[in-house]
Amino acid sequence: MSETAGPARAGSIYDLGYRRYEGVRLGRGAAIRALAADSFRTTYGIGHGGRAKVAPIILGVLAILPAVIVVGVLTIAARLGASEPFESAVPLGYDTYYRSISVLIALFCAAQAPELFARDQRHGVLALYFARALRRSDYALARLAGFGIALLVLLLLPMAILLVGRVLLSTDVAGAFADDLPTLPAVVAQALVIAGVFGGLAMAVSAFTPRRAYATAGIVALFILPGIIAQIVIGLGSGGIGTWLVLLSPGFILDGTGAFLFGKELPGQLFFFDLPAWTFLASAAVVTAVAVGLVVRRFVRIAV
Amino acid sequence: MTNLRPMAAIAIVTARALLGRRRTILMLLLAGAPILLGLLIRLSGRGARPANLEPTLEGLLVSTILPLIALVFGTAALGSELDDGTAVHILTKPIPRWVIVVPKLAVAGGLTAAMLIVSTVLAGVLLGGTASHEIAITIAFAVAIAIGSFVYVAIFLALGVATSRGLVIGLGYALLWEGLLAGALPGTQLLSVREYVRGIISTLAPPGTLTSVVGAQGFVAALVAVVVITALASYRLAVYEVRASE
Repeated sequence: MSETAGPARAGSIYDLGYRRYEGVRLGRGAAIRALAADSFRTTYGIGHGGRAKVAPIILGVLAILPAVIVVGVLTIAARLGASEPFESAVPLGYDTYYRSISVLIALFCAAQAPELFARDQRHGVLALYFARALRRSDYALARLAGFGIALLVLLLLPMAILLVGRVLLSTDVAGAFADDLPTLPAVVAQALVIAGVFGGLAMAVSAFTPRRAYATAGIVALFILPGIIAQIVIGLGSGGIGTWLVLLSPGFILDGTGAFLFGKELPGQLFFFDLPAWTFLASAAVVTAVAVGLVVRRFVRIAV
Repeated sequence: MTNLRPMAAIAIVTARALLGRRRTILMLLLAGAPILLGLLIRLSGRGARPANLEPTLEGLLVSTILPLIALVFGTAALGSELDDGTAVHILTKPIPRWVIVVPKLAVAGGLTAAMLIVSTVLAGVLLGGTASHEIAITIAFAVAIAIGSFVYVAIFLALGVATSRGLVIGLGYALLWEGLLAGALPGTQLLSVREYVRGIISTLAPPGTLTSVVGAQGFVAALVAVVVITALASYRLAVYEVRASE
């Protein structure tokens, strides 16, 4: 540059003062981490306007509410001196909690997953991401990871409230904690299954459409329809097809993995299911892997 | 009469916008699911299953596919125009707001109803067979679902006007209010379109098909709901502030 900066000549190139970036380049890893963190924040509307926060906060509060209520009821019962019979009568425990809030989790996924993929495609900013140190698959994986972690927070927070409430209610804190400790791995595993299956499917649908509205409707259809069709086929008494449909419908996968992880019987509807219970876990893994694969493939091939 | 021409024009534009390729294909797939199920059962060579007719039509069509299709068409009829800012072209014309809302409701509701009537009748015949009892049930479902289409579309259209997140709120209504609360708190059934539809079915179908809290009042409730919601949507559109789209 210094050679052109001589005496002024006609047609000379002026030095406008553009400068190179001389600072540290953080590289691919940092870009992935930043994008994952951004995905996490976007999922909860952090850093976005108030309207973006409404859906995640309402659904999040509704998902946590039952845990708070259970702890509250147990506290009152303990004050009245009736904790023992009450504790066994409360219908929401570690094993049944996710089942009862599964509609909320599905809605949360349907509302928030399209926020991550649909906007980027609609506003044509993917080219900006891909011009960075990020690879195309990194973009997809970072978004997936951010959403997955956000879902895990949503899933594990009510369980933490339940655990802390139950432990602190007892006079023997260490003993109560030791009592609950054996179920914790199952809780975490079930949360991972839900985050993988629900989160993965939701992200897979929203990766394929730039319109948030269609993504939302598609996700809900995907969550609900297979289960209903499976139920009908079961009602018609077709065991073979029914077994496959059950293994493919998100709701039944949760039932199955829940029963397997917490060592319970399968729900009564699944009386005909004669495969071992771990097949649900395998099915969850397959569904998650296929969903992640589809998302990565979509962004590796997408034209920007 | 002066309102007829703009209404016809808006109806045609709405129909063309709603029948975009991708969305129509997806909606047809959704509406075709019950027919496929019926075909599958017939092809497996076990004949009609009259006992499964009513739970299938209710579980699949009334409580899932009807709200979903109405949701997509209802929010897209007006909401998507408001979202991308092209609604300004209609909103700046000197026509009453109900003249905009009514044809959009008619087209979106009509499309939803048309798809679902075909789906209900075919699925009903495939599953239930052609005995007069089963045909009566199928027709009752088809009529009730057609009425329900307009109520649902009216609700989701109004939501699309009121908020840019109409779709999520509409889903919340269909899943949480009608799905979860209606089971836990039976009083909420009085404000549930699904219950109106079930009420109409229980009135029209042969006795013993369905039990419903709402009963024959379903007709009245559906009519009142459509009128009130249309009025609300028109009012909301009248006070709508045109902003730059997001």
